[in-house]
Amino acid sequence: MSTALLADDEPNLVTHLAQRLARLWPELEVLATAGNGLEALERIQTLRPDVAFLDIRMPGLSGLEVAARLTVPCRLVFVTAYDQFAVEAFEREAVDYLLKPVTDERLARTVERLRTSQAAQLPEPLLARLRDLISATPAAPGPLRWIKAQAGQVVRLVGVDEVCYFQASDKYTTVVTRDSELLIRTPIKDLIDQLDPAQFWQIHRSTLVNVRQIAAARHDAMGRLTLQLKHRPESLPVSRNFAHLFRQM
Amino acid sequence: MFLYLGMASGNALIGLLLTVVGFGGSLGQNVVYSECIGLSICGLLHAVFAAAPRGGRLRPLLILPAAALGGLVGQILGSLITRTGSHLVSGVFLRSEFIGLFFGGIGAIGFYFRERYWDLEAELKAREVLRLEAEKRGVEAQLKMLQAQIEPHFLFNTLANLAGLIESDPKLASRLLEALNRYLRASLRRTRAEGGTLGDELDLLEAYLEIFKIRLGPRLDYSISAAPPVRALPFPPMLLQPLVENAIRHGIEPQVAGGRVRIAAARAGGALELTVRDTGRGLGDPPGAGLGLDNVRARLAALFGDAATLEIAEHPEGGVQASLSLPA
Repeated sequence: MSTALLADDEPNLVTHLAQRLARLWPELEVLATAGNGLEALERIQTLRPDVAFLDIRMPGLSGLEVAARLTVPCRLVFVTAYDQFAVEAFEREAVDYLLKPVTDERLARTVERLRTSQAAQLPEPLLARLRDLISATPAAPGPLRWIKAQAGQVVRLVGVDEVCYFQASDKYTTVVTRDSELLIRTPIKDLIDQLDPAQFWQIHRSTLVNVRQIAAARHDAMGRLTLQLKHRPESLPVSRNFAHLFRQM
Repeated sequence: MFLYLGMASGNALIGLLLTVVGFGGSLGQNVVYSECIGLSICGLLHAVFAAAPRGGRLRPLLILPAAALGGLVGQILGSLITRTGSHLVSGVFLRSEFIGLFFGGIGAIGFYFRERYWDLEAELKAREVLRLEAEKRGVEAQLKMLQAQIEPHFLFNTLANLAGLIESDPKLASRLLEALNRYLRASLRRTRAEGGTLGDELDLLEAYLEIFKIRLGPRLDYSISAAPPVRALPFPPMLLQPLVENAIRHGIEPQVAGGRVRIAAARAGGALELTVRDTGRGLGDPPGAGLGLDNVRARLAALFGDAATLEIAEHPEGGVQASLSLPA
């Protein structure tokens, strides 16, 4: 007699999998079901089923995170709807997986394999590799496009294109947009590395300006260089060290 | 290479012509002179064209002196080859120089215009390439829009639910199928035509949320509120839908307890104000990653310029509120 746990955040899918397993593998006893990763982990640890069917995208912990945290032996089958990267990785590493919607034929094959082979746990390095593969966004992170900034009591998501300039103040950096000023904790020197250098130029020790927001660069009577902005009344001083950016071509 | 061969035969013709019209000298002498003068002029012009920048003012100015110098060099060469040194001091010299200049000038002008023509042709080609690239980007954007609208993960998970419910709860299965049908129909209609009303968009979103309500069960609650006159306003596709998808995918789905999504649309002053509020997990880290918001904003800018705004903020009571304001 084998035992199993089924985990998926969509209740219909858990019910359906249980029904089909009952048909294909009558002697399998489903000990419990779980609707999120935390629940799944806790139940596997306490109930110690022989097999766990884990959905990958689950709230709390993903199926792969559950697998990585297990300390009890359990044979795992990952279930996923459409994770190209995950499926490629599973194929390559010969890990059991099911693709939703699960066909009867595919489920029967998996059941056959589970019945005939020994219970085994995924080796740790393999899990780590799978986790990296699946959590990694396909594209490289690239420059920062959005910034989470504080406006009074509210945290706003500001697109970097909206930003006129960044200005360092005591502990914070002020994010100045056309019609608002917000605060972030990231210092100017860290922002420089995260932003697209073609879009944001440092013009002063404490100022990063959005190039697209510059209206004009002017020399005042004292020979100091200042920038006029398109959508802000104030002008920004350019320090001597950065004046070369605005020298005529 | 072909140019010089052509030149050589042209020069021979000039030599022949000169003999026929009684210029003086034998046919052999005239042909040799013509060749020397013609080829020298051509060589010097080539040098000028290579040294002076294309399209610069220097080029046309240098053409005549180069032709004159070429004529002189050609005459000296010709006199050396045919051993008719006296030629250089006689009146024949000036006449030869004049004829050399005449033909050299014609050649140079032809050369110059051919080059201008090539430049123009290259410019036209570059413009054509730019136009085609813009067209390609347009098609790609449309394709991306279509793909974004029907995400495979969404589709396959929904089908998996359908397969399960057909057995366990046929009534719910037919409700799900009906919602999926409405959603797909509305999606296709919305991607094909830029027209359409807010009502069309809200119908699409209602079907989308209904599908998730069946899939997630008690973990999702939703409401949509918009008065009939507001629903009748024209509304472009792919502005509101990404905000609702974000609320589900990044707000509700990753939260164990689930939550609520509320869509509201109202007219205020000269603007159409739309809000999508969820009680989900809040703005993630890194913020905005994979939210498709860049797309929404690019579309807003393209459609309305500065007249539209999109504001996304964490709500003080948790979750995210996205506010969209369009001129209406």
